[in-house]
Amino acid sequence: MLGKQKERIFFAVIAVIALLFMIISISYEIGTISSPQGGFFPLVASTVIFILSLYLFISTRPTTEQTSQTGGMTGLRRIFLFIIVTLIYAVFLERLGFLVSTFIYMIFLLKVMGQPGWRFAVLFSLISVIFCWICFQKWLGVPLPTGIVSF
Amino acid sequence: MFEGLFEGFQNVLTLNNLFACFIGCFVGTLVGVLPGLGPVPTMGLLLPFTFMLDPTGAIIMLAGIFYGAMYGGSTTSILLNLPGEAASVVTCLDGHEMAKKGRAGAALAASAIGSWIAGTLGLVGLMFFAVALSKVALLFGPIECFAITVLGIFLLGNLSGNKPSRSFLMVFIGILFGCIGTDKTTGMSRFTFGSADLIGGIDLVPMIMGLFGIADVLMFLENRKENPSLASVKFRDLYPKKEELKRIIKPSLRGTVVGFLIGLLPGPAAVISSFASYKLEKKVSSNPDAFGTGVIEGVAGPESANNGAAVGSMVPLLGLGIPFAPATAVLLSGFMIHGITPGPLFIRDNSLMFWTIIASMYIGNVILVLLNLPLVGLFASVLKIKTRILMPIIVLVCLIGAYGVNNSVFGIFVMVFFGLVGYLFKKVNLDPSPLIVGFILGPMIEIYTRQSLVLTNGSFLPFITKPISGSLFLIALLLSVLTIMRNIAKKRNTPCDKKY
Repeated sequence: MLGKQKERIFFAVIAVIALLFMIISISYEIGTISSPQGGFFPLVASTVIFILSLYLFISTRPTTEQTSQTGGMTGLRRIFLFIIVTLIYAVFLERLGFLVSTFIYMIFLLKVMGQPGWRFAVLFSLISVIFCWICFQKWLGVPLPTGIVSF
Repeated sequence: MFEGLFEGFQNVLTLNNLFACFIGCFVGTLVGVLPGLGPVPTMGLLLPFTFMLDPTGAIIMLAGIFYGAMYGGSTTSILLNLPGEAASVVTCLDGHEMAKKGRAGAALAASAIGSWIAGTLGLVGLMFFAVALSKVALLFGPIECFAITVLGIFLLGNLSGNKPSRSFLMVFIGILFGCIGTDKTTGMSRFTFGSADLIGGIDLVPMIMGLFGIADVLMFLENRKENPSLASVKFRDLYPKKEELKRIIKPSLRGTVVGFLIGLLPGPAAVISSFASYKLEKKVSSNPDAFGTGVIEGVAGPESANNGAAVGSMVPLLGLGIPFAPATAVLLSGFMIHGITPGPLFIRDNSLMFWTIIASMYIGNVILVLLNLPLVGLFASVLKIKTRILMPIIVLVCLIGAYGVNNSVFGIFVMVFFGLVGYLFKKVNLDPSPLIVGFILGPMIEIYTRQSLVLTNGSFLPFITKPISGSLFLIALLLSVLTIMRNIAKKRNTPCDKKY
């Protein structure tokens, strides 16, 4: 993609979102200038965002420069995979428990980050999950979900 | 004042507070060493774990990370020509040259001693400036508070060092995120879209973890680019020679003053101050041409300046409750999640806490010198950890933190959302730090706005006619005019031969 083009698209999207927030703010009670209500401040904030993003959209001129350091489709696929698996992990965290779900998730993380071989990934995941369990659950008192493993 | 400091020392010299101080300094040095993982994300990552500490211990630890990172950042600059922190970029110029000549130990010592001098002397300035500022700020009512927050936002326009319009955009996005949830005045639910989890608003911790921690992970995932491996460095000569020691003192003192004064202003103070100090040292030197070839003054000056700036940036935070730097914005959130609001009333109402933090910083500076000089080899060896191993650890810490805030998986969803948002911000060159500031200041500004408008019956005249608020608005106006004039001058000086 051409340089700055991404920025323009981004600012345009922000302007549209700000416009939506402006419309929602208007649906709340705005009040008067001497007695502003709940919708007043979000309306002001979203209006400023709308104006600024519009200004940035106009002032950011597209150039012929190529954008730097893009990881290509493979990189974006890894990001997409990471987000999907993290959301699945969040869904199953309380059902399976911290130990089981995080152990599986850590193996996935190491592999997606580019760690070669399975032995290290499994061993490192096991050690780090047990260490975190002892450190956070036992010592620091963070109530991590036990799930199917209860002790 | 000295009575307060004495009480602060008494309070900090407890096992819990000393431990918090040590952990903060240790972790700060560690993250300063690691390129990419700066003090802001680390403070954000550790925010939920400070719940286990009492508020004083939590702030001591977070502050320790902040100034500890400034110490640690020089290690990789000197040894590997790879700055661990943006503020240590200038240290590479002479620090790495010294290392190449076999004087790595002396350069590291110069950096540690310079940082210690700046940290300790800067604290004296912090004590006087913050207390004086808070006394003036006690005269503030809602209108003055509104004016100071507006001025703060104007000043924050320079926070990221990018274009002010971009910083303002981020501040207002943060303010809008701060509106999500129940309106505290009317009890009205705003932008919750029917979600019960959003009624209480967005939690700061998953937000910070997403914007900084997860966004960094996504950036790494895109290219999977590893940090360069550590070259073997011999530490035969750790301590500087007598003659070198003499040459450290004056640049450190000059760096302290330059750094502290720049730290009082908004913007990336640590980075600016280190460059300013380097320039100053070059100017006052009898042999300016030697700079860049391994001169000890080129290490001691900038390193003390960036530490002086770190301490200086605490003045507006503690005295006014307004952060002028990204790291102090996270520090402010640390205060807020423990139910403490820094600002005009903080020093009066929480005097013991204030003086304990000051005392902890004195002790922290001693701990940092003790950590940095003998353990420098250990810290440098941390760089041997592959990024592909480090990133899963960061994700794990983020997950536990995001879940632990409310013991709910909703925190993880929020974190992932902000991770994606933070990643997009990075792709379009937007710094998320002003967003955090806007998110924290937003609810305060809303309350001050409403109170002020009710008080003045909707009239804006008292905002200008009251002496304090009028002066603050005048400063904001002057700053705006200055920024516009600077931009026009910049455009005029830019050659027009680049036509696309």
